[in-house]
Amino acid sequence: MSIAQEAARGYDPYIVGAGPRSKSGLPRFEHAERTLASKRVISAFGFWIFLLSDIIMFSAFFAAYAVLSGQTAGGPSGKDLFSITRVALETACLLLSSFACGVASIGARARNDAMYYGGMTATALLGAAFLFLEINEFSGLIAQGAGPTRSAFLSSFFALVGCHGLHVTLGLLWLLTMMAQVFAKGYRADIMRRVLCFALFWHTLDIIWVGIFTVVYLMGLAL
Amino acid sequence: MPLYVLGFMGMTRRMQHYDVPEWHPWLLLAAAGAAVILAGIGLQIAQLVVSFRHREQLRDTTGDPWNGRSLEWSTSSPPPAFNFAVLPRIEEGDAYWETKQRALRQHVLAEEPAYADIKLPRNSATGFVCAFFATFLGFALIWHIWWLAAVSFLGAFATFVAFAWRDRTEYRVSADEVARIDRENRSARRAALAQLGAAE
Amino acid sequence: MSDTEIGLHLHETDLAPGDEPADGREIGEGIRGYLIGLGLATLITVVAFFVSRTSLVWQPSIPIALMVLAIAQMGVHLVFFLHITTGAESFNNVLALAFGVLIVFLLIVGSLWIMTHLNHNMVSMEQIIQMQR
Repeated sequence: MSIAQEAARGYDPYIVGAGPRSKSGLPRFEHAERTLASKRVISAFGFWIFLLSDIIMFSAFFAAYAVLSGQTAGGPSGKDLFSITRVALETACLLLSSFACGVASIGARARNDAMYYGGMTATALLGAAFLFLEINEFSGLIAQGAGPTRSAFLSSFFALVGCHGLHVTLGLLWLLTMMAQVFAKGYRADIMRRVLCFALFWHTLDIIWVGIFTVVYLMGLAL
Repeated sequence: MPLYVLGFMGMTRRMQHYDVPEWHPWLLLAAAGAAVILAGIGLQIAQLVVSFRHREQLRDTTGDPWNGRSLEWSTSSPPPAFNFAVLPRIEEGDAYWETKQRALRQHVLAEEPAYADIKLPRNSATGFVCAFFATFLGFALIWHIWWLAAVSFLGAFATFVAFAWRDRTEYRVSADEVARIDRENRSARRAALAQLGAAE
Repeated sequence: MSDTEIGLHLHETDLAPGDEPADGREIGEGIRGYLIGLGLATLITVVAFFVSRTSLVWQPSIPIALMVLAIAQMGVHLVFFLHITTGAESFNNVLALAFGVLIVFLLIVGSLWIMTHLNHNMVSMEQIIQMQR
């Protein structure tokens, strides 16, 4: 069969025919189910995969804590050290900050300055409050001789909760950067992608905190 | 594997001599294996020498030196910055192989594709610079040099923000440029096809 | 069409993970989704805190109850905050999540299993001290 006959049959591996073009300028394929996904979808999916790898890293810290939570080396245990009120406050801060982040996401998509900046500011303040409470807790523990070097239990505690706190800190830096970017350049497509990725990151941190307050604090106090 | 078995039988490494007769057959087996490996190394060296000696005749310009079956062989080696000139339209399994079979039967390359502009991300030194700061940050954290830790962290963060502030993130390779680069590859493939045709 | 134009440029029915579904939705609807998520999460949290402190629940079941509540709350977060649905547009995201959960499960269960096994097989400290005497 000649090439012309094959082309007539519809076989066109190098898009010889002038087929219809999609909005992005790439040729569209009549028989193809779909074209290349948009940058927004690709970026978010890629970031989602990174977040899953981050969750796997956290689960390694969780596993270490689960194994070592009983090894108090004659020192204080969770029951002696944790304060339920502070944990409740920290949880409230993060949960509300997740909600505020949701408001900011809606605001960004609607290009509503009040919702975006208001939501992001609320997220930042609540996140900062969480960090303040956590740093307070850590310095208190260290002051009373229950620092990360006291026992395996405390080492794994500081590693797990400290890792989460570090993520929150970096998230706050990212948050401020995103507010600055929208302020400087408006709701540009690439900045919107970053806001979406930030929202994913922030919600994931709250999910990890759910795991932490359950396994570390509630189980520590109950058992 | 025979050495693994010997380990279970209690033999250690670095023995100058041994006096356990049970080990002997396994050690003979391991020696035979070592001889095979030596032959392999010899063949590797021979291959390197021969390849170098005949490099002019053996050189491949098409990017498909082993008559590959799948689509990664449809571009040149090394590939251009955009990897593939067009997104191929696939209607069957083994699309690249079928295209080549058709070309062999008809003694002519498939028709030239419709080239379009390609947008590629711009290069950036951000990764390299950030890594530089990260190295110092790691060093400072290990040795508790807090001022250096703070400075390196700020440096890394500033680099990152500078990268995020870019307005131009992509550059465009024009359709003509894509066509020019692809045509070079196509002429190499055409020459190879002609050679194959002449050989029949 | 440059990368830096204003807007989102979504042509597909694909949904980015975490993205608000559909452009045409009202802001009110969006807020409502987040409010429901917030409410449910708060409820589950309160129950979890209560379960850990109270003597009304059979003591040995407390860890399991807390785990179940934690998983439920993570589910609430995933659905209401991250918009992970069962629809076709979420398929890739759900698949990736399932894989992540599998790895996490293997990691945690595996670590606990191995360490308990090692601990069980390990000679106790008193015996070691005895042997050293």
